[in-house]
Amino acid sequence: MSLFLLEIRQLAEIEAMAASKKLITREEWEKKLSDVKIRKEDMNKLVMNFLVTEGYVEAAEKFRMESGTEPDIDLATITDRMAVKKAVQSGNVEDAIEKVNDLNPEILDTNPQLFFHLQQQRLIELIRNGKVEEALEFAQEELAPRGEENQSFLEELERTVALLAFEDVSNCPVGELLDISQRLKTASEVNAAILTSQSHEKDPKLPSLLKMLLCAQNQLDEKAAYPRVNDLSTATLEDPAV
Amino acid sequence: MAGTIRKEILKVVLRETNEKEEKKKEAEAPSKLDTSNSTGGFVAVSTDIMKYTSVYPDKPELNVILADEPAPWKNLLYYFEIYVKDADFKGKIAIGFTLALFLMNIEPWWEDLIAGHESSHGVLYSGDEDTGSTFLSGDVIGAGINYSTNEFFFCKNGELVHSVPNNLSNRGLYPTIAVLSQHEEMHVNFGQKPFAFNLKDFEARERRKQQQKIEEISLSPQVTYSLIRSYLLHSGYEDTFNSFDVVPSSPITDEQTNTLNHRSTLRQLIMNGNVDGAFAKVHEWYPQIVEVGSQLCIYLLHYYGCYKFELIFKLAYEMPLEVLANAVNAFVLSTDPHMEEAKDCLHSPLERLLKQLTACKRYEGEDFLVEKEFSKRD
Repeated sequence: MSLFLLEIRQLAEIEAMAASKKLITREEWEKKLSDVKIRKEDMNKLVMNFLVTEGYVEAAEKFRMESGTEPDIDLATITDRMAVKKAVQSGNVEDAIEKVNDLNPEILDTNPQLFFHLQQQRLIELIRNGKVEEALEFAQEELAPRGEENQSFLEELERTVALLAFEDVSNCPVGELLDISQRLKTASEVNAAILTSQSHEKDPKLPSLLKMLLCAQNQLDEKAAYPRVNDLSTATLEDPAV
Repeated sequence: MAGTIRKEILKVVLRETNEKEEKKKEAEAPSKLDTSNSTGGFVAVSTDIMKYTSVYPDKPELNVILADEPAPWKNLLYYFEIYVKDADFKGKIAIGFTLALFLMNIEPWWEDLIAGHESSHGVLYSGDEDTGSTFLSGDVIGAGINYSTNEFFFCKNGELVHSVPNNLSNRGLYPTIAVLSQHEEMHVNFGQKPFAFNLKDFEARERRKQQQKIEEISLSPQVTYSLIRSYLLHSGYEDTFNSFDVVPSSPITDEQTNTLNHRSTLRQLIMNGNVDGAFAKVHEWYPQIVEVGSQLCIYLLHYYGCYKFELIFKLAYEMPLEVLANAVNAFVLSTDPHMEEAKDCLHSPLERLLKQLTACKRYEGEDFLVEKEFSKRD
């Protein structure tokens, strides 16, 4: 590899200064911050977006009244979406499927993976409740045909059915399927699918802006020493280490 | 204490209005090679064509030429190319970036470009000798800086061929060409013509990588929750706050609850156009604010830049209701002993974070606006 780097022996003082990181004082940085105007309207939109996406329907309604910010989807649909989410989280998968179909039958028709995961969750609930025969019958009739069409579905089905081989689930290598976290995972997938069907982002904007801030600060660290925010909750500026 | 904070609020507000940061003239982007900034032997045929003829025909020597300006650093990428019209049969060409003043100290032999040696002065690339892939007549060679990954990257005939970490300053890096031979002719392209390398695609890929990097950052949902909560509390959106705050993440003092209720009432009165009613309530609930000497109204003035006292009260009735509501809210907050600094009254943590994000992005040269984020889809 012929990568040539210039080695110069006497470094001019001025060049050393140019190469070092720029120091931005608190006063200079606060001037920059004061030049930035954030519109109340935009902050209100961020808040409404969060309330709507996360399903705080009552708070969203109150916020609409208090701030005059209009939600970008019908608030009534949040109630329906939350009902579906709640049904999955409490293990009532049949009820959840029915509610999704009432809301929009195309959601499950056009999303075979989601439908499979809901059916898989239904199988998990049957196993959890000790309904072994019913679980086997359900797996054979409803899930096996889908497994034949899709290799990854088949693997997931095999993992789920493996729960039946263990009397003591604590020793089962796939025991995590019976955790509440599995319900939450499925509920989150349904929630995202409903939001997508309503032409709405599946995640709120605010967390991604906060991540963008962390990333932007890390990037700026390479070029300058400046007052940064380390604690997002308080948004306190901390002086640059000189 | 509260009086001091209110005076501080005024100072911040007036500073925001009066002190506009001096805009330093940004250096122009490189547009041509600079024969005056070279080791000699280079002749500019035109602004984009450069010929090199050795002054010692029997002995090849290292000669270096820099661009007229350093690479602009407030971007995601910087890139330039040369087309090697004539590489000379004994020739060797290297392309890259160097800090301006190295020419004062350069020793005139190619051996001084030590392969793989860390340097604080520049980086030049002359192809991959292991594969015999050096630069020949007809080749298009490119060199770039990726500021997001802190790397130099090099291209040959439109293909990315090499990258190396950038351990140098991002400022003052001049596009540089070095030659070791007797005769060379090259055409340089600083973006005046389309590049052989698809820079647009490369930039799009880098932006996607950047986005992925952002998404990989883990963030506790509690952080977002507490920011929404503090925003609702700060803005005086009482009903929303009570509805949202099902599981309070921190206790609220009686004082805070009182001001929340008052601020909510004042905001509603103002937003409904009842400014007289709002001012009457301020007099009733917070006489100490009025006693400070119409500071509230002075606070409002920075939106209009008018400092004639007799116009103060008139202005309060003419300005946008949202502005007035926010100003009244900030002043009522200043009566809360838990508010330690003026900025806590003026800006919620959410607003301060959005300001910090915008300032960081703008410092990097990006034209960032929060409102633009709403037009993007995940």
